[in-house]
Amino acid sequence: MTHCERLSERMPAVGNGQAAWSAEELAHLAQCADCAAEWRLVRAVAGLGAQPAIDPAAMSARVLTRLASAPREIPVVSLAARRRRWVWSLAAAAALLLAVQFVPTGRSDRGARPAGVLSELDDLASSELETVLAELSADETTGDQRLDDLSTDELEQVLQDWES
Amino acid sequence: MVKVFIGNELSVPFNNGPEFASYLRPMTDASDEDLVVRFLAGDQIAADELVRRHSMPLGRYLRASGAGSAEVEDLAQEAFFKAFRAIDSWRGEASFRTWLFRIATNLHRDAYRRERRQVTVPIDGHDAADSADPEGEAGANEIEARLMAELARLPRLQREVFLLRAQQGLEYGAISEALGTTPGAARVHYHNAVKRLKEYVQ
Repeated sequence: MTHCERLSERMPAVGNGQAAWSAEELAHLAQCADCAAEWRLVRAVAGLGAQPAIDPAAMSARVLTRLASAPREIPVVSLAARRRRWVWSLAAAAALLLAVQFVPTGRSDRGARPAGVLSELDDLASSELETVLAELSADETTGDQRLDDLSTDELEQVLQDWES
Repeated sequence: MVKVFIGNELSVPFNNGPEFASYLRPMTDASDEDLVVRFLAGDQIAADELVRRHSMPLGRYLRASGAGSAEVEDLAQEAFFKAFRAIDSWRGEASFRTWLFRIATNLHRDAYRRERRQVTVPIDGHDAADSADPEGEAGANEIEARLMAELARLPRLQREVFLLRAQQGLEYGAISEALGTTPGAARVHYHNAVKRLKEYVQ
């Protein structure tokens, strides 16, 4: 991370009074036009809309009055929502296993993840995804790595690939 | 767990756990999480403290997001009401503040959509023609007025990310939770907004 990037990361905290510039950072701001422009922007935005027409005490009273006549909502997860969540979990698990199949490990027989493999998963029905999962779990003869076989670094790589 | 009753309403969990520890701290020193625990136990003063703590930052965020001056208070009030009413579904994965900003953002988006459906004449031809009236804000200085106008021209998600980061000081992880995006995408949106807005404060 460059000095400019480090400063950029800290600007919102300093602009909101949660942190302060060091002497070294101030010196950088004085001589770097790009950082100085970004700092002017963040400082201006931090003070933007500084006086909204809100009376916190009055608002609190109104909210509490409304709450007194409206019971708290108890979260209920519907069967359909649970099913949707289950299908998505299954899709994510299947996609992760597919990604593991193609994770680069330095071995020459292993290729990169083919483009489009993840979008294809979207078209699968839940029963088909289940089949994919079952086949991947049962397949012990191909020599491909399973999640359990991966080192921490390789798992990290898989996750990074997913992030990107 | 033994419960100690104070007055007619407040029921305090009396044990050695973190729940009880939260009752020993003064209200203003208590964390948001402590205040939520107190509110769940029936302590309305805790809810009052949460409103006092977050209403002004929330109002500033909504105003800069394009909500009209008259609209800000209604949106903020509705956000608190919804947050407290559905407090049982808040599991503490995101901070209370992030959760509140998420609710407020969604309310503002809904209000904007409703408003857009009612408007038949396009304003200025811009895609983000919110109800903001930056130039009309009495007392706003020139830079602030220009900045508000340019903020209104940013794509909605880019503007929301930028404000939550630059104005509210939220980390990318919290922003992504509040706006339903990823930390990486939030970072890209922020930097694109900075690039676009920098020239207006020169």
